[in-house]
Amino acid sequence: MTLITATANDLGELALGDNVFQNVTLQSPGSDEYAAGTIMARKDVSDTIAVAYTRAGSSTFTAVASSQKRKTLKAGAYICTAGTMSTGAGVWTCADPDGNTETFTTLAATDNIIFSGMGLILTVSDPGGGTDFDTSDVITATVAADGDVVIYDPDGTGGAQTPIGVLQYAVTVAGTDLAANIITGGRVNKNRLVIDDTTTVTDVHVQLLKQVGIFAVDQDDLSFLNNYA
Amino acid sequence: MSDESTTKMVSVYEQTLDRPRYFSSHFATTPDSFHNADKVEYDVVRQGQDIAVPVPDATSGPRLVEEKKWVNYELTPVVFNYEARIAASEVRKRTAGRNPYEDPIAGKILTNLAFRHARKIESMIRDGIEQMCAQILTAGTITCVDDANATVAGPYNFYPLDASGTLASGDLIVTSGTTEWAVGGGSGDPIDNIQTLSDNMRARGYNPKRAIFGASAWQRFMANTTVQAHANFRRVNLVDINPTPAPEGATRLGTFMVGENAFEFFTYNGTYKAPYGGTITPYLGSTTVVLMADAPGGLQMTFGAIDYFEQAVDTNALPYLPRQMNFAQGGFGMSMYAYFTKDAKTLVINVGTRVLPLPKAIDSFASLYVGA
Repeated sequence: MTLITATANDLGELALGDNVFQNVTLQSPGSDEYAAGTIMARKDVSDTIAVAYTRAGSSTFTAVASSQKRKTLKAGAYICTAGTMSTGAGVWTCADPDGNTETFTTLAATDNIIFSGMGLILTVSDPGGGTDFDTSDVITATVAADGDVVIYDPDGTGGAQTPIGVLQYAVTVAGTDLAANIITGGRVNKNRLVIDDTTTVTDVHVQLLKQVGIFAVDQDDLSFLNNYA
Repeated sequence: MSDESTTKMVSVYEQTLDRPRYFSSHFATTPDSFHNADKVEYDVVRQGQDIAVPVPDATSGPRLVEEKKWVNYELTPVVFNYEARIAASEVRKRTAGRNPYEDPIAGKILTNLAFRHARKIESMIRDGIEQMCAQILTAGTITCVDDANATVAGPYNFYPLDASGTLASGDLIVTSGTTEWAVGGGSGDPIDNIQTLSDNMRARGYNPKRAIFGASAWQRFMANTTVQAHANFRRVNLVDINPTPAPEGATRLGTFMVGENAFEFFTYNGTYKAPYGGTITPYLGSTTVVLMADAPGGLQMTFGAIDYFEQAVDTNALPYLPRQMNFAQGGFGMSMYAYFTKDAKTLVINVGTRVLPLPKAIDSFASLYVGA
């Protein structure tokens, strides 16, 4: 039995007035919780990623492409080429739509191919008694354009790096896109803004928000809780 | 048995000394303290010590501020619940204080017995509360054990309270290490230790005014060469020790300047019999010093009623024990009920309360351990 329960209460608001709100579709790449005040961006690409194969030999393995949590892919084709394969394992090299490349080494034929810098995951599967990927096999993951709202990522791509609004209330996502209402203009409390990857909100971010009409002002909190330290 | 000699039976001596309850006397009992609820809750809003900062110019925009946070605490009280039984045959027998040659008057004797049990239980509960208050003021916790040393209530840890961060208790509850004061007075720096603790309290907004010493702590303090030099400061009366009894078992020693703080010094040597082991134990550890600040409303006692069906109250037993005793001025509340068993052979009395001292102003007190 819990003998003492302490609950921190906070009546403070993120929105400080003259705000503009907008209904948007919030992308849900997986289970996550977005806090009130999370800075949002609009991605340029779709969740659905088409996959095509150019097989050098008789391989029959397949892959499903997806984006990593908190990552937004670029619109266009990601071309992933197998290097020298040994029993289906080896180095894969991926070129993104802008020509940037990244490599990933699999240790087994059924290992997933993950380009974490780009945010692309290729989930490999054996159709059943199939043949491993061969040297020089090519998997092309084509990302279509989109307009869903995603969490802002200062180092992101595909639109995720450009703030367009602020989430006014906490949202729990579970893999299915959902409707949300975000602040797209007016005054907000800078101290209640959140960047989901825990980056500290700085004047740079404030300036980026200002460019879309959101004025983040520094409002001192005079509350003195028991955690004086 | 009567023979040719005569005997005068004088009045019984029934020890009803004032029990020492100095610590619990600091926890206010008000009409707000009594309840029938399962739990108690309170909100804490802190003032802080912010000062206003000017803006550079009259045409400058205002400084934007907000004050919107507070903390809520929900606590489950500690339950004391005792039952005693008085057999009908006891009325016929001689009990303490009764003249064996007087014909027993059942009603009077039963009332006397019932109240004697209730008074004893009440005193035990009050002493239990004193122990809880002592634990709060010296350690910031409550843990109650039974005669097998099993924990039966608690632990309540009043320090890590804040959901938005841990309240650091280390700078208010000093349990060992750097504050050892030698018995002979040759080592240790009591003035500095008390000063540091006072500064820590002041940083949280409380100005300590009372220092309560355990017996050995006071001896070590007075023996300390630094303290003696401080007391001998010529023509500046920094120390005025003139012991006088204080309420609830403490002794007021006098005033003592520590740094810029004028303290009232007390000693408190109230004791209780520990449930486990039966050792007579001081409420305030012999080598412990407690500092306390004034914090109106900051320490509160609560008393919850014990559950029973009002409809089932035995009206025949009511003359022997009232049902509820809540009195704020007396600083106590307890539930009582009595009933006769159906065979009319036994009066059962039940006395209890669901109590919890609340240190709302958790940093209005501090504790210093000064040696083994």
